[in-house]
Amino acid sequence: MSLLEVSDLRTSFFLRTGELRVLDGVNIDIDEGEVLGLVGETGSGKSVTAYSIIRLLKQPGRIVGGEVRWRGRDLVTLWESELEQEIRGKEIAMIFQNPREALNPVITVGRQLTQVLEIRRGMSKREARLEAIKIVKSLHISDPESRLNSHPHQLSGGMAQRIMISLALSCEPRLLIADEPTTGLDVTTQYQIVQLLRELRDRTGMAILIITHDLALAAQMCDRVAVLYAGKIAEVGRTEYLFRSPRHPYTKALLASRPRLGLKGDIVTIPGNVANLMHPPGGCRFHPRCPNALSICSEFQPPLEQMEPGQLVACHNPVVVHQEAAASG
Amino acid sequence: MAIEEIVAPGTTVAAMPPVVGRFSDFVYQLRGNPATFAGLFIVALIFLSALLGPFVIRYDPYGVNLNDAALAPSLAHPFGTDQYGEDVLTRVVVAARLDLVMVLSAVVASTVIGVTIGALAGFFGHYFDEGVMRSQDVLQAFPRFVFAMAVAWALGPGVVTVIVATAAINIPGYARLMRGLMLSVKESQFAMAAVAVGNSRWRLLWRHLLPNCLTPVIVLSTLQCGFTILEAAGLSFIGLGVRVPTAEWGVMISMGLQDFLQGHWWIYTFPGLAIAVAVLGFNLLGDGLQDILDPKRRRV
Amino acid sequence: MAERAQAANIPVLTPDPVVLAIDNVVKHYPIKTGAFKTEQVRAVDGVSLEVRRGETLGLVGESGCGKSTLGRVALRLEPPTSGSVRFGDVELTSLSGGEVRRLRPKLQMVFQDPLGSLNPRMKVWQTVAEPLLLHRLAAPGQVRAKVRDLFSRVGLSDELLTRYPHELSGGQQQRVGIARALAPNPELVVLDEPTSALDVSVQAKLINLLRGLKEDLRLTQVFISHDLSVIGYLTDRVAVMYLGEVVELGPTATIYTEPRHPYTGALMSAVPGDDLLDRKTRLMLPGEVPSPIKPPPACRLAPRCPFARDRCRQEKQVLRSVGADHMVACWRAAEGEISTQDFERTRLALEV
Repeated sequence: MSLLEVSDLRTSFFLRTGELRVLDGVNIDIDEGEVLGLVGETGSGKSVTAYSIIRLLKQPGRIVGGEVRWRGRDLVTLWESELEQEIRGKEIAMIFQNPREALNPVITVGRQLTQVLEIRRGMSKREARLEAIKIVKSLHISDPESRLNSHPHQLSGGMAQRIMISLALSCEPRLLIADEPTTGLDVTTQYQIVQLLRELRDRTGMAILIITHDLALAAQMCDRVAVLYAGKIAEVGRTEYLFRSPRHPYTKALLASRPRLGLKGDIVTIPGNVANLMHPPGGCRFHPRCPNALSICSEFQPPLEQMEPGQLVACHNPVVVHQEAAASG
Repeated sequence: MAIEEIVAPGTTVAAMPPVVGRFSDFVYQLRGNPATFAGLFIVALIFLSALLGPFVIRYDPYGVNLNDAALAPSLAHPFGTDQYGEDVLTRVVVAARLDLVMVLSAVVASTVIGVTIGALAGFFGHYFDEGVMRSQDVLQAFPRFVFAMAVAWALGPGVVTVIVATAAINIPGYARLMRGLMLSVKESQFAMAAVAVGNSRWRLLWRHLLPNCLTPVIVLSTLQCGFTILEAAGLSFIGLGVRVPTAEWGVMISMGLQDFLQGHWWIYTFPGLAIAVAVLGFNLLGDGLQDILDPKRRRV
Repeated sequence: MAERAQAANIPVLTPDPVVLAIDNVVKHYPIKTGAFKTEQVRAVDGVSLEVRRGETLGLVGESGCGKSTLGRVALRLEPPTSGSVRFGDVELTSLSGGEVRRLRPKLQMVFQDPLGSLNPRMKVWQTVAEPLLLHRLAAPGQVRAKVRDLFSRVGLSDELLTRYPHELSGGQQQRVGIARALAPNPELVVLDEPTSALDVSVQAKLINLLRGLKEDLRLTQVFISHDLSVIGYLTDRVAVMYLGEVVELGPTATIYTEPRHPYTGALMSAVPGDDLLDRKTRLMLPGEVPSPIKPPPACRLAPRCPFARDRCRQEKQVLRSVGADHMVACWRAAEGEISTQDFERTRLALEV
């Protein structure tokens, strides 16, 4: 049994102009200790997926269908109080984009950390302080004492992100959901955070769900990657296979639309615009922009099917991959 | 309307909202906000009374008729008559015009003056800003009503006095609001873009910055109308504003209270109710406007 | 063009090979660090550059390096604390407000925040028309036609003309910003992180547009970004900035393949290659970028640089030539003591 099994998750936003079907049947699973990347652009629904998993959605958003099984229990149907006491922050923790804004600006970061330790793990003030320093040291933060006495705005982006990670780790979660953890940080800081997360996973066996639009980050960090387009998973599989021989035309096009030094001529872009979630195209949501589109694509949504062991693609006409390339991976 | 704000923080949803007409959107917002609708209704009623009142009334608001003095409310006189035999309902309706004129003049005057000095202070900053804001501090140091009374005493009682007094005490509020808005909008990217394109300072202020500061000012003005009614009525009530026997809500209350011991409650109660309803209406409308005009609080 | 320039009271400039000459520009911002203490943020601390006609010059660096500030000062959107910026033979820093305004058509900017850079209360066609009207660059009856023309040039359809900024997508908003910058026929356009807020696929389209414009209009551009891939693709020459100074300057291809300054080496090792899976080792600089309020004396990278020597901590580094049109602010690189190969070797040693 996987640690987290998301089946057919549907989330909609109910606006005056209609129902915005942001997630239209998302399937994800994460095993113990695995790092899964959820990759997509604006409008794909990747952040909404994360918020739906731990039910942090705000009105007018609502989960309208599907299951989120965490160690067998369906989080969608749990009572809010159970979710709060047992799951959120304890077994599943989350870190957000813009770390300095996600932290309470008027309390020192040390206090924010010790508060959690005192309340959640029942420690005394002294114990909490010692534990906080220990956690912070394990994240390679130099001079932990004075760092803990700072306020969020006094910290750099990278440091604040580490503090947020330490908050997330304070209750030793089994799954860490990281929503765009490196966006807005400098390139070198990004790299440090990636190294840090990898090290954490090796040390604690914690699973990580990374939500990002940065393909390079996903390639460096993840064991498996799931590509999300317009509320549905287009493709999911082991990182090496997905990046070297993408099967879904969207994945392929996305990889090709990066600017590179030495590239002559125009970048090959994806024609058209992101699918309108209020009135999505019939059939496969990508078909109006797809170079591989067939007539069946406008009528039936392709199911997520297994191509190779561990590689799933939702496409009627996936990209042909030459045998040698696929075999060598 | 950008959908970004309503989705879970930090995310965006790619659905371009259909471009809806302004008016149909306004109606939609009202439907979701019954309190605002009530406010709008009340204010509209007051305006109607002011405009059409003098034409639809049956009695002469100043028709002294001692035979009918102090009659309790009846079918002929739904609000009763006062000590001079004048129909109270008629006077309440006619007073709407006077009160509305005073209030609107005062609010417009204080808005225009306050916004101007606040905008200039925020825009130019430095010593000018300091000077202006300290002068506003001085103005605000006086208890509001005492200040109004002082102005009224100096100018002598009358309609103009009420307008000047109530306008004066409200100027600092607008000045501060506008200054704050100006300080922040001055730093926005589109302000810099406007400079990059070649706007002069004045054109920048007038064409780009001011229009983007108006929303909170409109809300404040609407709310201010309600409070100004109270202030104007208050001044008239103590005799520093409009004089007896003018049909004005505050004056009518003071007249009515002369007969308090005789139990002629209708003479002061109905004008009092009129004031209360008017203030309620403007407050509801002001609050509602705040919800409608602020993209983050709108109904989606 | 000369007649039009005369008519619009713009000084006629001879087609100089150097469009903008930035000489030792310094920009400091006062900041309150305590109740009674005010210190200076040394955002730009002595930068000299020239922008050549027809080229796309890249300004790259991490946050706090001063690249955006330099862009704004170069266009006289903010006055420099000291130094000079010459546009042709006009010294921008000594012009009055009115004179600067008259030169604005020639020096335009595209801003970072697509939505924030547009007046929320103006329809987008009015935003694009404004420069034309302000500088009388089109007869009143022709403004609308000219705006339509600009819209189609940046790939926006006519039906978007009457929309408000919040009724457009991010990519569309940024195209409006580009149209506005192009409207007065500028000689130089500075683009400050124009694609940072956009999605990968939208960014790709915008980059193609910018490339096309550069070729069609022979536009001189300064492209500011922290995204090394975009800079590598789009620019001819690149200036690498660190803590308010230029540390390396040269042709893009050279800098990307043979960086000479250790900081450039570290940055370049972070550029994803064609194969995203190549988990290449990176030259990691320990620690974090110091605060621009108290930058290290002499070489600013010295505290973090694996190649630092005593001389680095004592002697202020200046740009020195190390090749054809290639300059580095590092004495060890200039004197041939360290080179690109050393960066490769050090990566493996530093990689944890």
